[in-house]
This record gives sequence, C-alpha cells and structure tokens, in this order.
Amino acid sequence: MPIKEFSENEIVFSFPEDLSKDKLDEQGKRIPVGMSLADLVINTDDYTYLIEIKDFSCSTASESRKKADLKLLQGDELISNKLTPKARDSYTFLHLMERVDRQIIYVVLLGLDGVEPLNNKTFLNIYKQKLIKNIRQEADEPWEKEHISDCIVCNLETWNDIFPHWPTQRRPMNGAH
Amino acid sequence: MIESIYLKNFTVFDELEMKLSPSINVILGENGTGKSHLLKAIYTMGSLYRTDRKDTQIDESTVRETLTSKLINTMMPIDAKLWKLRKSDATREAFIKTCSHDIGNFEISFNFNSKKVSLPTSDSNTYSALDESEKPVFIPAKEIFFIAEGLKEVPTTTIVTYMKALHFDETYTDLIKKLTKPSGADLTISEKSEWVLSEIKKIVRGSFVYDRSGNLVFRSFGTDFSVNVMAEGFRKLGTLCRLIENGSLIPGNGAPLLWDEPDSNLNPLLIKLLVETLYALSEQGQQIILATHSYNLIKWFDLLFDEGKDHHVKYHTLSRDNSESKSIRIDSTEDFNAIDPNPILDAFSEIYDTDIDRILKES
Repeated sequence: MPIKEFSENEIVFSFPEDLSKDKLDEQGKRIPVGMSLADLVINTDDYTYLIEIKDFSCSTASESRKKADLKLLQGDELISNKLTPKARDSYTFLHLMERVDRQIIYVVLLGLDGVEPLNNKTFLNIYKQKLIKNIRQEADEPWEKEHISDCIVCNLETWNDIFPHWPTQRRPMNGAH
Repeated sequence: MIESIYLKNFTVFDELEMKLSPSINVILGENGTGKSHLLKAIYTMGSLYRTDRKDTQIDESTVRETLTSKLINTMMPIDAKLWKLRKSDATREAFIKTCSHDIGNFEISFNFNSKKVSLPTSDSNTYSALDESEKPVFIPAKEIFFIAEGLKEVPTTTIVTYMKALHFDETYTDLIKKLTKPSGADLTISEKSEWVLSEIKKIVRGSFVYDRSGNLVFRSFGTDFSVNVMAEGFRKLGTLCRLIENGSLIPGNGAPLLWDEPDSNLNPLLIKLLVETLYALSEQGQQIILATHSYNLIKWFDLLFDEGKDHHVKYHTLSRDNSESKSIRIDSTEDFNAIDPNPILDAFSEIYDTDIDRILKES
C-alpha cells in the first residue's frame, strides 16, 4: 500500500495514502478567530481521531527552551490552557462542519525521548486521567454532552504499539541520528 | 543494624541472600513473593540475642526454645509447627543466617519434624540477651494503635493469648508493648526526631497524648478526641510519633525499623510526609527496612533523595524466576530507574495498556 509521510517538525508519520486525514491548522489556511485546533484529524471506520503533537525532545530546541516546555507539563497549565481548548474547539469546528458522525478519540502524542522521569506509562497514564477529567469539566459544571469519547496520551514508543499501521519516528532536523 | 540475611529452604524461599543498606531498604514484589516473610525473618533473628559478647551467657537450650517460640509466633505456621516453615518441597534442612556488626552473626536451622531450631555446633558460640532498646521495631501492615490503647491495663501474658486467638502474630503483640510503654522522663529526643514529630503534628492537626486519667487521646486545639475516631492513616503516623516519644525508636542505636506496607491506609497526599520522616530518621543513623506496593512511596524516595544529606536507598525486588520451580529471586539496586523487575510499574503499564484496549475496543 502506498505510504505518505506526514511530519510535524521532527516527528514523522507514515500513513497509508488512502487514509482519510486532514491537517486543521495548516499554514496559510484560514481558521475561525479564537479557535485553537488539533494538528490532525484522522477518520477510520470506527473513530475520528484528533491528533495533537507536543514535542519536548526536539533536537534543535535549546536547553532553556526544553526546560520551559517541560514546565508546561508541571501542574495543569498545558492541559488547561492548550490541550483541553484544542479538543473542545476541534470538536466544535467538526460539529459546525457537520463532520461529527462517529466517536471522537483525542490522541495527544508527547515527544519525551530522553526525558526519562516522564517517558513511561505511569506518567502517561496519570496525565491521561488529568486530561480527560479537564475535558469533561472546564467550568463549574461539567459539559452535559460527552463531546470527546476518550483520550489517549502516548509517547513515540507507545504510539507505535497502539497504531502499528501508522508508525512514527523522530527524524532530527540537525541531521543527528 | 543488620548487614545481610541468608535464607535456605525457608517458607517460599529456595535460597536467597539479601545484602542490606545501613540506611533505607525498600522491598518490592508481587503478593506471595515473601516480602513479609523476609521482614519477619530479619525481625525474629534480631529480636532476642546477640552473639558478640562473652558476658551474661545464656545456655543454648534456652536460646533454642525461645527462638523457636519467637519464630513460630511471628510466622504463625499451620498448627504452630516449626517444621512447617520449611519450604514444602525442600529435601534438606531450612537455614537462616543474619550478619550484624552490632549484635554479631546468628544462624539457625531446622528440618522436617524438628520441634526446636538448631544452633551451629561450635564451642565458641555465645548468646546474651538484647536490651529492650537494642531490639528492632516492627510495624505490621494493620494499624494497631487503638488496640494497644484498649489493652494497656491487660497483663502481657493475657495480651499474648488474646492476640493469638485473634490470629495476630507476635509482631503485633510486640508493637503493643512498645506503644504502651510510658514515656521516659529523662528521654532526650534529637532535633531531627523533634522535627519529625512537629511535622506529623502539623499535618494531623494535633497530637496523641495521655489525659489526666491516663487515657490516650488525640488532642487538637485544646479538645480531646477518642483515638478511635481518628482516621486510620493518622493513627499510623501517630504510631511513629509514639514510638519516638517514648524512646522505643531511637535513631542511631543500631536497632532496625521494619515496616510492612507503611503506605497502607495512608492518603497518597500524606506519603510525601512519610518519606520525609523516614529520610529524617535515616539521616540520624536509623536503618529502615520496609515492604511496599506503592508507586507513590517509592517515587517519593526517588524525588526526595539528597546525596548531600547522605541519603542511601536500596531497592530489593522479589520475583519468581523462569525455572520450573519458579524460585523466588532477589534483585537489588540503588538506582530507582534501574529497578528490574518493577512490579509496581508493571501494574501501571497494564493499566495503561488495558485502558487503550478499552478505548479502542471496537476498532
């Protein structure tokens, strides 16, 4: 089956060419003001996957940049200010486009290579629980509608376990391997 | 301080040697891998006699009898038969040896149908009784503070009978004796132990004290409450306070603190405080040997580790090997990230994998 690569900076995916996918926040594409959208939407027979990629291990990032990024993982800042609004806005966008016709799974891929204390299933598991909790309730009252069926928080390794037909790898921009 | 323990054909163990840190030892392992047996074996071997002195010798027959009784009452084998502590498929004798610079080396053995433990045959063996303050402290998994208070007027021999009838092993009875020991008027508590006490009191918002009638109560902002109404996790921390306050636990005196599942019934938010207190005790020379299933507990040991404070933690994992007999093996490391196998992380991995399977079950 022909393969088409999709990359988000250093993280490169190999998708079957006929896979239905859409990059929502493509450069140059106009998006509704105030909306913050996930990186990619993939439709399969069963699900719509909203894919959001956050790379904390980019080889070209400075140490101070990496440290600042990692600070985002502490507490709830990344979840509250970025990941949850992206899930909600992406759902709203798809709903208004009448493209919600199956369960939506929100997949957050964290590039954590070399970030040893966090690059494990324990952290991913805990982070997922915090994320889904926040997605369900962003204000005093929880959302009445379960707009996101569930979410998956993964690193590159677990992504490849979960989605073996859509393998991903890091391709360092600085040429290092 | 116990430097090592060697077990052969004992309970679930074929052959196992554990070399202990003088500071903090964390024993991990799935249920049934012998964590509590290991703790109890260390406790029993260090509880009665020292072998490094020539004075006040006790005859071997008494040593054999008391040690047999201690082992049986601590391990509680079926029908109170010593030989039932021998590994069921073993064909040779069971053997336990502990090494200690403080109280000397100690070894015992017993075989099928043995009624008493045997001691090594040597003319140079000497046994003398340990002082109460030299004996290890064992805090079992079940919280016992409120029972201790209820039994404080009961004669020791009756307590032993009660506890046995209720199937509590002797670690519980021993702890009750220590908890009900009055505070020594001339007891000096070190600065770090005082810090431990004050931090625990801050968290539980009060302290366990004796009122005018001599009853143990929990006093919070001038009001006394029954110990029974206190949360079990708080009582667990209260147990540690009481042992320090009455001099049953004196960091630096050489006697280890053994604690089976210190995290049980403790809110995860209190586990950081627990680890801080254990580090504070270890900084004063307290050897600590604990068994746990808690990720929070071991991760806090990792996060609060401070080489500058001479922290030293050794993680020991008990697991079944791949042999036909599925023997219990031990793997020890001082590197948190190198704990292998790590049953706690394996459990988290399984949760993660099962969660993914559930999410994608229809695909």
